Amino acid sequence: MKPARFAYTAPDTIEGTLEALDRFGDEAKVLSGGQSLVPMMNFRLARPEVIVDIGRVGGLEQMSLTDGALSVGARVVHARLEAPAVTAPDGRSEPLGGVLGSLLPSVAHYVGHLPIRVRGTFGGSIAHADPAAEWCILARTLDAEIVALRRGSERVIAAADFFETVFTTALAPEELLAAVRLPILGDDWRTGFCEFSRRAGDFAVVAAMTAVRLDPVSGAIVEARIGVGGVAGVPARLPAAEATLRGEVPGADLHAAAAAAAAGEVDPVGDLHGSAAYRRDLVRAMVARALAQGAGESGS
Amino acid sequence: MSWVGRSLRRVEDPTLLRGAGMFVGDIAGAAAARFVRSPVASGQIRAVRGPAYTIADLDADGVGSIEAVLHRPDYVRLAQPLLARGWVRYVGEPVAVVVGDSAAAAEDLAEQVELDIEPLPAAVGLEAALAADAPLVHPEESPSNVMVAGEMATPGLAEALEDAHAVVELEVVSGRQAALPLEARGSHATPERFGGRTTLHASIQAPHMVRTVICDLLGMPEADLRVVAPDVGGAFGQKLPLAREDAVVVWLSRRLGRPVAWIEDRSENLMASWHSREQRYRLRAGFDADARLEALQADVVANVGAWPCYPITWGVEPLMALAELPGPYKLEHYGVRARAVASHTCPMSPYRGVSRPAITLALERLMDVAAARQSIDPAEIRRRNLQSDFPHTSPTGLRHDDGTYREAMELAVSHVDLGAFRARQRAARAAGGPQPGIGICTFSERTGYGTPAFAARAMGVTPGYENVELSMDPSGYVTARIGASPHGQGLVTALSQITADELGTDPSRVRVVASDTDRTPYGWGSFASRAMVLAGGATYLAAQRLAAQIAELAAEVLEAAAEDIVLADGRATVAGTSVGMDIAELARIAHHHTQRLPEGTQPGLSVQAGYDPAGTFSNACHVAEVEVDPDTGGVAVRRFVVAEDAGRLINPMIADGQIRGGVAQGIANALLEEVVYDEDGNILTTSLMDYLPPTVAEIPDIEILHLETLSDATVTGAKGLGEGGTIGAPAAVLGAVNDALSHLGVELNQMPATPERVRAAVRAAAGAAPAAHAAGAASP
Amino acid sequence: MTEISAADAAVPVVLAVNGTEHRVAVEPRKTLADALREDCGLTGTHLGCEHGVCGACTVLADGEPVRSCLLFAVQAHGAEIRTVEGLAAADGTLHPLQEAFWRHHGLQCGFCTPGFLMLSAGVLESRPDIGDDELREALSSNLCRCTGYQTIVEAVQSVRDAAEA
Repeated sequence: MKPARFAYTAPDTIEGTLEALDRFGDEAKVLSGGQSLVPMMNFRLARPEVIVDIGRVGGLEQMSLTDGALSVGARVVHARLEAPAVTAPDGRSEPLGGVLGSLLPSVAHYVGHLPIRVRGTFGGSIAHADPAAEWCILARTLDAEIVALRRGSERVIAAADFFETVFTTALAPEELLAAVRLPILGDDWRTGFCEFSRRAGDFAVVAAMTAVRLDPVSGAIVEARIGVGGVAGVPARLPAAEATLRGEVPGADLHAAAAAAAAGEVDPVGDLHGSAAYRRDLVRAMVARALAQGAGESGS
Repeated sequence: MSWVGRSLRRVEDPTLLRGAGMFVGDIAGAAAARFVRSPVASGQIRAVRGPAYTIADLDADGVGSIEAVLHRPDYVRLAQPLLARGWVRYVGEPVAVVVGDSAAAAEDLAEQVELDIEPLPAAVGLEAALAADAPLVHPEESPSNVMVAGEMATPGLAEALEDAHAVVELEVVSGRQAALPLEARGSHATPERFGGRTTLHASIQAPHMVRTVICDLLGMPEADLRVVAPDVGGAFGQKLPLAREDAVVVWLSRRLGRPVAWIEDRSENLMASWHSREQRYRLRAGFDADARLEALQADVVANVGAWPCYPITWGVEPLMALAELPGPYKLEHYGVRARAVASHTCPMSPYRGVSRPAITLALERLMDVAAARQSIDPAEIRRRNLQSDFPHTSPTGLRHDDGTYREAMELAVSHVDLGAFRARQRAARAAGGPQPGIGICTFSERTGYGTPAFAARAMGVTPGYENVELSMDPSGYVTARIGASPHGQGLVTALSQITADELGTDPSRVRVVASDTDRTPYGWGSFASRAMVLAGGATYLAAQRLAAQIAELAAEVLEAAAEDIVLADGRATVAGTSVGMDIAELARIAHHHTQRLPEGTQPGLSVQAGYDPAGTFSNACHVAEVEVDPDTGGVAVRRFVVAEDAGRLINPMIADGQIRGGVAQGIANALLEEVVYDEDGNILTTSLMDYLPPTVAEIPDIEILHLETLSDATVTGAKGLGEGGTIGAPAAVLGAVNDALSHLGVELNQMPATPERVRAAVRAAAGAAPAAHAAGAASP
Repeated sequence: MTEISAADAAVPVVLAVNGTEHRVAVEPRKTLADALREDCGLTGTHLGCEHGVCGACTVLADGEPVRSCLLFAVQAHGAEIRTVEGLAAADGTLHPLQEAFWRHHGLQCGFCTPGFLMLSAGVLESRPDIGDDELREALSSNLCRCTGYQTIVEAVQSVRDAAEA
């Protein structure tokens, strides 16, 4: 279980990185934290010709609030999202508050184990595009934007367009994922994240994230987002289940109905860790619990 | 003051704690061997192209084949080549081997080797392998995939079943599992530049046996091969049989005239080392009106993979089930058929507990189901059926020496406070959500057996005894050279305690030499919960002999009678007097001043002893408390209690460590771990993200209660306990899962009870008519 | 243009391990674990899975516990690495964690032990007052096949408690 040979470069600037990606195209693979890529290389399931290590690149480790979004730099490690802090315009670091400020730690908590969280990066996880990965589900559920750079240009890709299939994204070989922009959620949002895994720290068999925005007067749901992972090649939104929530007031019966709709809506692919039927059951349980969590009820 | 019975810190530990242990992969300076393994489950080899050695090279050197033999008329004898010859029979079977300058380079080379294999139909699961038209694993040697079968029935079985008040039928399934030592296998062979000897360092449990079989295969005198088991990073049975890779490594090193190492990677280890436990039990049991077990008929099949393991053979799992299925219970009428079924899957070796985790699961599920049918408490049915008059002879002729079968159960059950638990359970059932359940498992564990027990198995070689050579050097320090081969169990510490007591010295003055065929007497190794009984017994006997030798010497020097000499606190003293001498001083005399001794006295201080007992039975009761999430099928073990009777505890701390580690593996076996093949024989579990050993988050603290029945079947009074934790835990956990969901009508008799299986059982029960299972759901 | 190291090049790398600089030359594909074991002669760091699950290869990199099988040696150039060999004091006195693992029987075969020691050291150095539940969660990063974990947890707790007292 030793990786196949590869050439190696470790630029220290974004410009240098983009040059290398431009030069090597699909022969190259970006190495960020390496916590997903290196295992695949050790199994020789991934065999890049050239590794472009962005570990020494400056400017990819910032979290900041801009234009109504939280921008998470590609090299922000998972552990930093357990206690997220943003860089203010004056350069000082301050804790991230609000709904995202409490949501991100609760999700980061599910990502692997401590040694994985101190090395693995947010951007790396998004670019790796494991359909059960927590950050991918979060990005899809919140309609995050992915900022991709290539030599001389920048583009922004919506999460809905970014994840194409298992381990495959809309990112071109010449492009570097530089940051992910998560929309700031106002205080009228209620979020929940629940996952079922076989062991502590394992990838989820199924995970669900819910986010609902409440009418401040009636308390009814005016906007609903439900995202699930572990059911298909990409993290998926569940529009039918979301529709059952809109206009209604949160409560156990409503959550059960939405969870049932979610279970009916997914078309899971079975594998070693769960058949299609079992994953459907888990979708029901995880969606119900995420909604309950958001509503401040106990999860079960 | 006695050293035995004290929880001394282990002398093994400081080296390991400093990272200064020497595991086989730590030995530098060898070329790296890598095996090229079959990608298909069954096929005919048309060609092997590339820079590799194949069976043709071994044949050209006259290398022999492995013959794991049982002397039974129905046993199919096979000659297993060290690399595949002609056909491949499982995914991962070694077909060729390459040698590179580093592990990475060898892996590069292996990728250049092209295996041209014509795929053939494969028999993978038990049902597929037993089917009338099943593809045969060894068509030239056997017309069916049944490789050995045992059958017996006591007189009157059929009548007893017919006349029984209640008959319970049950199918219990154990999934395929892997022992998964954290250090995978590996070997490192160095030929001496001159003289023709070779040294093999290998991560193994039985170095002397490995030396014998490799020398037989390669046509070498045993004196020319030194086999050393350095620090071994866990084994649990997987490192007991001969690894054919180890024999190939010795051959390669001698052929190339350079050190060659094979360090198995995790993927190989999961795919191609050894698996265990894939068994199915069909039980038909008759109980009387008081729920006493009267008759038991069983059909046992074990999927044993593509080849037998040497020297235990693939009869070990089914035939152990045949012999030991009656377990700790009184039983008069017993009938069984047990078959080893070959398939196109990885071969099997014994894994901690061998068949007994599955045996115990089957029997304990039977007891729980019978109790529910007759509406009595799970503890009560065991109370009525456990053996209580000792010695007890089982229907298969096994003699159970004195034990505490009932007492252990009463102790464990009272410790958990069943009444309070049931109140909590009623509340949880009313509230919905996660459901608590409790499971009881009582079992006995046959341990510490020597030649007589192995001889009954009629293996081609008969393991059994252990030898110890004990000597005192002129400084008064003692060296024990043992044939057994510990690998993490703390045997060195425990043997030093036994020796110190008999010699009146301090354990810090005892050294134990093991696991090196050049430095130790022939012995069998550490497996089958035997080392403490066998090596401990031999050490005890040797220490007594050495004590007698010292006493005679002291008697001579102190001019007293030998029987009046007392050895204590490092001194030999004439009883009742203050006349005495340091033992170290006597040791000097024995070596350096033999002119002071009568003519004819043997110089020096050294003895030898062997020990070869018939065996004994430990016993225990495990109680597991779980919480089951009916929506996800997830199971969390909340509490685990063990009441164990393993006879005299030489070092209680070490004993507890064995129990805890064993229980952790048993819990994992019950809930998490399963080797999975697809129907074509591709293995799906070749990483630790797919094969799931537990983390600390899945294992609760384990509460241990001890009973100490001193065995008259062993000289130290100790019984073995290395496997017990793993034997009892699966049944306790499965019992608890079933108990948690009994109000839903769930019956789940398969391990591992994965969340998907639990969830499926909940769905199935919900789909069944509620009235249909009400009778079986009585919750006491 | 940033320098490119060829796939079969022996790349010079400086590894600062336990306070000693090791100047080694490794292929880019060589992991930190293999470089420590083969090029620095520090075989206390063990390989149990080489895909980041078991944690036997855990070392501290700039104070944080990392899987050295998931890090290429070239990435570790310039980092401060600590391995099990650097845990005891210069005079050989065992580190409190080593003592505690010994006293609590937190090891049997000893193969996972270096990884657990370094994981625990990293956790306690950054969170000396870590709570029981969080400690247990942190320790769930690594696998042990022998002990059943309880004695490992007790050992680490005892060191935490002694430092707090």
